[in-house]
Amino acid sequence: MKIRIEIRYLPNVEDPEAMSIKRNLDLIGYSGIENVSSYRVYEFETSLNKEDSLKELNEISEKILTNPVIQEYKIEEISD
Amino acid sequence: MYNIINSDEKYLNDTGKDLGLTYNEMLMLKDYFKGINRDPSDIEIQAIAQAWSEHSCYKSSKIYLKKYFSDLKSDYTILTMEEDAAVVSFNDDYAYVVKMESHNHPSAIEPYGGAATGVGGIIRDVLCMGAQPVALIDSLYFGNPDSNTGFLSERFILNRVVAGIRDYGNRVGIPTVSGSVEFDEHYNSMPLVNAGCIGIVRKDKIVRSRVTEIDDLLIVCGGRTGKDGIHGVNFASKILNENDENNRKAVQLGNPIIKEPLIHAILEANDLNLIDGMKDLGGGGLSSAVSEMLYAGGVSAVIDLNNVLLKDNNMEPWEIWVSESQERMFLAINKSNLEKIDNIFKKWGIEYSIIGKTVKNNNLIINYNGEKIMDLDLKFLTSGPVYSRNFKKPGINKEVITENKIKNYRDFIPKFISNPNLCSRFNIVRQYDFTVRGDTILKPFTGFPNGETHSDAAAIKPLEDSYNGLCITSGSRPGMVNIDPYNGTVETLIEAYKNILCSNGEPDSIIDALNFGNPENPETMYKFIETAHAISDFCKNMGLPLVSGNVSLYNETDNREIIPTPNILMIGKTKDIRDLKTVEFKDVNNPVFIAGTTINSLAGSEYARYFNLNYQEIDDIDYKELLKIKNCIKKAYGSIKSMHDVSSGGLLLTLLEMSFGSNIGIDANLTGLNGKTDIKLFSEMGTSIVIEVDKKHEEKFINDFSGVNVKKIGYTVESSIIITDGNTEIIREKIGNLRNAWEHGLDRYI
Repeated sequence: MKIRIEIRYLPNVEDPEAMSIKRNLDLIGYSGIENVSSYRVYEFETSLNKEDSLKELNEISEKILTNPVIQEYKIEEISD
Repeated sequence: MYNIINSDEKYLNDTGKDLGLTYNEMLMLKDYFKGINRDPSDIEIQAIAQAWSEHSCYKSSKIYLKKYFSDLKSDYTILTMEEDAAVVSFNDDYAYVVKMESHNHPSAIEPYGGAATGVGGIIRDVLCMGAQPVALIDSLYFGNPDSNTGFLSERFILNRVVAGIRDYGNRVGIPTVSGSVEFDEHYNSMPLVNAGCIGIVRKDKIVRSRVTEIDDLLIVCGGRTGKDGIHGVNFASKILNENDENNRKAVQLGNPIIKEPLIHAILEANDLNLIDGMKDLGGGGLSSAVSEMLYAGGVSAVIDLNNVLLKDNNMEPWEIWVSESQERMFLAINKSNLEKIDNIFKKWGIEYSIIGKTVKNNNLIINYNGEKIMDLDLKFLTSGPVYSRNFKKPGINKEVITENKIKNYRDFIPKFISNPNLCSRFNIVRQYDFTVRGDTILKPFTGFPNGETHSDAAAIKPLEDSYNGLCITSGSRPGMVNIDPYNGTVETLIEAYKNILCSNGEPDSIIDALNFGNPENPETMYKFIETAHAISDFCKNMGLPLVSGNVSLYNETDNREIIPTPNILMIGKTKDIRDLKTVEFKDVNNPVFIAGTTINSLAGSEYARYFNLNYQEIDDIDYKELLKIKNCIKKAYGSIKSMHDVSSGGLLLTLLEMSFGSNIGIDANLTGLNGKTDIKLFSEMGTSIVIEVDKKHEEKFINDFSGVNVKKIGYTVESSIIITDGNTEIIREKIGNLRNAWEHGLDRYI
C-alpha cells in the first residue's frame, strides 16, 4: 500500500527556508504574500497491511525522518 | 504566583526543586521579599532562578576562579575575565578577541542543534565586543563510538555534532580552523562540545558589555524571541535525566542565515560609533544580558516587554524574559543615533525593536500590558550565592603495571594508529570549511594535497595589510587529568604550548573551558581546584596571561560523571606568517633531532588506554625547559625544515605524522634515548619535540640548541619508515601502507 508522510515545523518554530523565500519575495516586490511555510513530503510503498504499515512508518518517522524537537509529522494512506 | 514570605520549609523545598534552587537559596529569597514586604511575581522568581544557576553565577567555582585566576594579566592584555570575551593586543592598531564556551548539555539531548548553537553563541560573544569573527575552533569529546547503550547511539551523536558545527560554521562564513576530537567511554551519552571563536577589532572600536549612559535606548535585534531554549541555563546546571521530555525544550534552534547579515549590520553600526554597549543574548536570554549589562555600568532600566518581537504570540512574560532563542543581540544606543541604526538594519534586513531605556536607579523595572511585573534590586539579582564546596583527594591504590606487551610491532602498529584517538581526522575536519574568508595560512592539514598530515597549530592572517598572524591550538589530556589533575593539566598546557612553538609562533594567551562532573562530589571538586591551581602556576611560570574562561559543571548522568576535561585554547602570535613551520618532512638526508625531555611514563597515554593499564600517578614535569626551547627555535628557525611535538601516540606517531604529509620518511635509531623500548616509542609526556634540520646547517643548529637537551635520532629517507632500538628492528615499512591504516581509522564511524 501507499503511504504519504508530511513533515513540517512545529508551530512557532522558525522555518528558515520559508523566511528566506518571504524576504526575497518582499525584495522583488510581491507585496501581497503574508506568510510562507515549507513542508516535506515522502511517499512510501509497503507490502504490509494497513495496521502494520502505519506502525512501522510511525516508528520510521520518529526515528529517522523527523527531529521531534522542532518537527511534527502527519501520516495518511493514499489511494492509487 | 508564589507565596514565599509566609511559606514553610516544605513549600520552599518543593518550589526550589522546580526552579533548580536549594533550600538555603530559597531562604535568601524569602528574606529579600520579606524585607520589601511582598511576594515575588513569576518573572521575578524566574529571573532569580536563572541568574543564580551554576551556569550564570559560577556559584561552585567562583571562589577558586578568584583565588587562582585573578592576577594572570599581562601588559598587552586589554580586557580579561570581565566581559563576554577577552581582548588582547594584536599589533599597534588592532586587538584580537577570543572566547571559548561549552555547549555540552544541549548537545547531549539534541546533538545537531546543540552543537550548531554552540558555534552561533560563541560568534556572538566575539561580535558583541565589536570584533569581526575570523576563526572558529571546536574541541569535541565523544563516547566510545562502538557503544550503543545510551538514549542516542554514540555514533549518532558524533555524526550529528559534526554536522551541526559544519552546517552552522559553513553557512555563516567563518572558517573552522582548529580543534580536537577525543573518544572515551566516560563521555558516553555526555559529549562535550567546546566551541571557540577569534575576532579582530581596531583598538578604538572595542565595545564594552556595559552601559553607563542614562536615557540610552535598549534594542534587541536579529532573531525573534520564542519558546525555544527556555531554561537552558537551569538545565545546564543540572544532572541530565535521559527521559525528561522537558529537557528538549531547553535546546535552542540555530539560524545562520539570520546571523550572517546580523554580523555585517552590527559591525557597520559599530564602525560609525553608534553603539554605547553591547551583549549577546545567550544563556539566560534577556534576563541575564540586560541585568548584567546594566549592573556592570552602574545604571538600571525600565523595560516594556510588550515591545519584544516574538516568534510565538502565546508566551508568558517570564518566558519572554528567560527565552534563549538564538541570533539575537542586545544594544544600548544614544537616541540621536536611532535613525542611522534604523537605516543600517533595514539595509541588511535585520528586525529590531526598542524594549526600554536606561535610568538612574538601583532597581530594574519591567512593565507588561501596562502593569509593573518586576521591580528588583539589580545587585541582589545579579550577585547570587557563592559556595565553598567540600573537596577530597581521591585515594590511590598502587598496583604494579607491566608494560612491554607487544610481541610483534609490525602487526601492532597499524592497529594502534588506526584506533579512533590516533587516526586521521579527515572524515570530520574535511566537512568543515576551513578556508572561507581566505585568511587561513596554516590549515588543519598540511603537506601534499590529498596526501596531507595533521598540522600542529593552525594559523590565520586576519588583516589585509599586515603579515602578522595568529596561531591557534585547542585540546585537553583528560586521561592524564583524571590520574593527576595538577600534572595532567600541566601536560595539557605543555601540549598546547608545543603546538604553537612547532608552528614557529610565540605563545601569547590562554583561554580555558573547564568541563567537570558534579561539584557536590568532593573528589570532583578536588580535581577542579587542582586544575585551576595548575593553570595558574603555568601562566605565572611561563609569563602567559589567562584571558578568558568558562566552567561547565554537572556533566553527569545515571551516577556517571565525565572524566575531568580542562580544555585549553592557546593563541600564539607571529610577526610574519611567511616564517611559519609545518609538520611534514621536507627533504631526504636531513638530520632529525629530538629536543626537550620525555617523561619515563606511559600514564594517561593512548598505549595505556589501548592495553587498559591503570596508572595512578604522574611525575612532576619541569616545563620551564620550554622557555629555553622557545629561545633556541628563535635562533635556529632558519635551519629548521619541519617540527612536530611528541604527544598522543608518543614519538612513534610523531615520526609517522611527519612522514605522512610528504612521503618522506625516516631512518631512526632510538638507542640513545632513555627507558625501555615502549617508553621511548609511546610516552606522551614532557617537553619533547622532533625537528628536521637542513643538512647544510646542522652545525649551526647544534650550536643554537646548546643548553637544551637535544639528541640526533636519524635521517630523513625516501618513502620508508625504519625505526630500530639497539639491535632490534621495530618497523621497516613503506609510508603508504602505514598511512593507509591511519587515514581510514574513522571510516567505520563517520
